[in-house]
Formats: sequence, C-alpha cells, structure tokens
Amino acid sequence: MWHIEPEKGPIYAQIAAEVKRMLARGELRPGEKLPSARALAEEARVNPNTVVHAYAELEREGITETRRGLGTFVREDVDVEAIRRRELEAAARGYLRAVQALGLGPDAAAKVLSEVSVDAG
Amino acid sequence: MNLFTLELRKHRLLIGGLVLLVLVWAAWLTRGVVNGDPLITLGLALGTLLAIAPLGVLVPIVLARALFGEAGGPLAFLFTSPRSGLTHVGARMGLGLLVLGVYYAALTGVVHWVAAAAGVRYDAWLPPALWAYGLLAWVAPLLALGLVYGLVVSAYRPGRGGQIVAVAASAGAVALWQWMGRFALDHLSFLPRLPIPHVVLPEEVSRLLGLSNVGLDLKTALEPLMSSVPTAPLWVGLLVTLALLAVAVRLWEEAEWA
Amino acid sequence: MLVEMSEVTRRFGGTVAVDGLTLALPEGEVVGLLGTNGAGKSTTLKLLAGLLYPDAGEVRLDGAPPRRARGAIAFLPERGQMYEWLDVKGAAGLFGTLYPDFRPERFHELLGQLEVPRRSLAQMSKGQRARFLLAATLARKARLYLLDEPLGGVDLITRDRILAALVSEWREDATYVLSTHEVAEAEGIFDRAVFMKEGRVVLSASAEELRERGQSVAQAFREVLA
Repeated sequence: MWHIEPEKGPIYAQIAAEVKRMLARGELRPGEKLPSARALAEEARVNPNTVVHAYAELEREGITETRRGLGTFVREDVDVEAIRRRELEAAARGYLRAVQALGLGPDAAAKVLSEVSVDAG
Repeated sequence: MNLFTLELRKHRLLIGGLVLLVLVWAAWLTRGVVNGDPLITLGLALGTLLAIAPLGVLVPIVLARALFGEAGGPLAFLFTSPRSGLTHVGARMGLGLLVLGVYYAALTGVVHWVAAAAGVRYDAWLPPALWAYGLLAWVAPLLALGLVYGLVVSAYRPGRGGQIVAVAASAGAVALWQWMGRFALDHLSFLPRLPIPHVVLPEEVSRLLGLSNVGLDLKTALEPLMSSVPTAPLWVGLLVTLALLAVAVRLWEEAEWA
Repeated sequence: MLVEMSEVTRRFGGTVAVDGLTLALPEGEVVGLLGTNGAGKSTTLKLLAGLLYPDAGEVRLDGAPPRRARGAIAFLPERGQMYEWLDVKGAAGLFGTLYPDFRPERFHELLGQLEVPRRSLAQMSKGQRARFLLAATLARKARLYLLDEPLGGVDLITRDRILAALVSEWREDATYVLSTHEVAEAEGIFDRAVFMKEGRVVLSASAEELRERGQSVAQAFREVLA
C-alpha cells in the first residue's frame, strides 16, 4: 500500500504527502489514529526515523497531533476541504504542464477534459 | 547446550569408536581368561595394549582438525562471543582429558583384571600411578599441543610454507619437552620420587625362566639398577601442558578469522 | 562517535583490501555499506567486528579495540556456516551460552517472521540457513550489528521479509551496518549511505539528504561508483 519511490525525493515527504492524499480521498478521517511509526515503517520497509520525521512534518503543518502515550492522530479541526483543494490544484497543474508541453493552451485543455469526462461517464 | 556438551556432540563418532574398541578388546580378552590360559591372555593383552594405547593420539588430532573445520564458519560466531578464551579452550581440553582419561582408565582396568586372573600381584598404587603418569606426562601435553596447532592453522590459515613451519614448530615443541624431561631427571633430583613397585610374577613364569619355584618379585630384580622411579616427567608434562594452554587461550583471544 | 576507523589499511598477500580507510559512524544509525565487488566491504565489517586486525591505522569502538568490546557486537558473516546438525533448540541453547545478550523468545519470533522451518541446518535450503543465522544474530541485544550481505542470494519475497524483520528489530540505541548489493530495495531503511571503492570511502551521506538534492541512493551509487 505504501509505495515509496526513492528517486522521487525524500521519503519523509512522500509519506506525509500520502497521508494528506488519504485525507483528501476520505480514506482517513479527522480524529482518526495513524499507525504507529514503527508499524508504518515495517509495512513500508523504511527507517522508523523517517516516519517520525514525516509525522513531525504533518504536525508542523497542523494536520496531526501527538497525544502522549496514545499515538499520532489526525486533528479534529483539520481542514479537509483545503487539503482536497490543494490536491486538485496540484493535479491540475500537472495536467496543464502536459498540455503546455504540447504547445496548447488552457481552452484546449478544458475541451479535452470535458470530452474525456463524457466518455468516462 | 554449554560449550562442553557442544564438544561432546561434535565428537560423538570418535568417542563411540573408542568405546567400541575397548568393549571389543575387553570381550576378546575375557574369552581368553575364561576359556583359555590367563597367563597367555595376559601376554596377548600387553602385546595388543602396545597397539591400541597409541590410538589415543587420535583425540588431539581430531580436536585440531575440528578447529580447522570450524574455520569455515562457526569460528566467527565463537570468536565474537564475549565468553573468554579460557572457557572455549577449557571445554575442548576438558573433553580431551575426559575421553582419554576414561579410555586409559578402561585399558588399565582391563589389563589389571587379566593380570589378577593370571596370578600377577602388585602394589595397589601401581595401576593408578601408571594411569596418572600416562595422562600427565604425555596425554595432557599432546592435547594442549593439538589445540595450539589447530588454532594456529585455523585462525592464521598459513599457506603451504607456513604449515611446514607449524609442523616443524610442533616437532620442536616435542623435542623441547623431551629435553626438559631429561634435564629434570638429571638435575632436579629433589622432585618427589616413587618407590619401585613390587610386581610379583606367578611361579610358571619363574619356572619358564629357569629361576626358582616361587613367584618372581621384579622389585628385587630392578633394585640394583635404580632406587626409585622419578616423577620428573609428570612435573614436566604438567608444566608443558599449562604453558601450551596459556598459549592457546592467548591465541583464542587474539586470533583472526578471515 | 560510536565507531571510528582512521587510516586503516589491510592487505591479504599482495592485494590491498582496505586502503587508508577513514570512517566515523555515530550511534543509533542504520548504515548501508555500499560498493561493487572487491571494494572492501566484507573486510571493513570484519575489521569493525575485531575479527581482523589492521596492518596500519586504528579501529575503535567507543574508544576501545573492537575485540575487547566484542560482547556488544553482533556480526553476521556473508557465507555464515554453523554446525550442520544444529537445530532450533540446539541453536537457542548454544547461542544462549555463547552470548549473554541472546533473547530466546525474540529468536523464535524472528524465525516465525522469516518463515524458517523447524529442522536441523543440514535439512534447510541455503536461503533458510541464511535467515536462521540472521534471526540468531538479530535476537541478540547488541549495540552494533554488522551484517554482511544479509539480502544476498535469496529471492525477492525473502529479501522483503528480511527487510521487514530488520525494521521490526530496529532499536533507537543500536547501530546497524549492513552491506548489500540490493541498493534500490534496501535504501528505504538506511539513515546513512557509505560508498566504498577500492578499499576507501568515497562518499558518506545521509540518505534523505541525497534525496532532498534529487538523487536516490541507487542513483548516487551509479554516479559515484560507475
């Protein structure tokens, strides 16, 4: 489940990003407990320090909080909508980059997008 | 499993072989005593004893070879153990002494039984003294030498040339040990000595030799030649053994494993 | 610094295996010792374990020669062999005798995790034997673990299980140095990557820092050692 790609940058950032994606997709809910650093490390075959770093980063961004003796939890007051919006924006920017690389503009991008949506149903 | 039982387990085959040998030999002699002439059987026993007693040298050879065999792998795990070299060397030496101690005790016991059946009488302390003599004067030093040689060859893996040096050094050690024995005999007369034992051969032997019709006491025969039996070889053997064991422990603590 | 090697040289006959090698490792890290064949990784691990002595230079573990501190070092050789007749019960007894820090319950847990059958070593495959010895080594509560190619010669699934076992065994107060050729698979667990070439250290870097600068450890390997 945890696909870490070492060529894509620091692993701690990839883990933190995946947690945010899980929140955006609804796989993770506010107030829910994250796996322990060691459990996640074992599953992803990465160094537990790296997971600790990822969790620290998430805490710094105000997405998670550590409750002494209980573990790391997603904050109740986390703004899931804002996270979803940021995910969508990142995806959109990626799409736009591909379109621009082909020498086309945002209108062509939107047109192809609606055509593909119709096909996808 | 402690280090001693590990050694027992490793050398089951050798131990079993020696046990079997003693049992077969004892059974064969028993037949001779029960069904035949005990005196002739005694002669056979002493003759074959000369053949099977030296087989004890197999034990130091096997112990040395075991060390060499372990160089492939187990030695890495043994060397990195925090247990001191003394426990490792002690376990192997202890096993060697136990096996050969029992082996020679068995041989001595069997000969004693056959001799008693043949009517030979001797001082009670003679068999245990012979056993102790053999153990201290040559078994223990040879065992210790085998361990030192095994450690040198397995830890340092000398090439062909180095192995020749190692064998030469062993031969030198044996020569040194013999020289020490002679030196002790010649110059250390203050060392305790054993009295010459009474060994009384039965009348048949005296008659055979054309002497008297009474039991021949070897003590009276030997007394003009020597007044007592020196124990110097025992002391030398003990000293050599302790020195070699100290070398073995030092080697164990410092040896390399490549 | 837990481990310090300064200007260490070690020769075997005519070949120089380790050539003026200098390396310092802090406590509590998982270190990947990486290099091509013949780079001197095995020799370095044996020097750290105190099984080999340097021809020149010094090896220090907490300031002392490693052989003296050997109780705190757990070394797993590359082609580790043990007595063929040894089985799980015998091994637990033997390792318990040899190493006071051996934990039998952990040994059994690891054997389960690594799917090692309960037979004697002679009846196991090469891979099972390797995992058996790895379990015995990790079951010790040592300060420094030196593992020579723990992922060598086994299939993908087994390598994966070994990595999972390593992570599950990881302790904050222990240091792990492992050499491996499976750089891409293993790099996730490294805190630090040490690259060796021709008996010297050519690069010692934090794995995550390499990635911040846009290179995976595997990519750095190709760049530094090609």
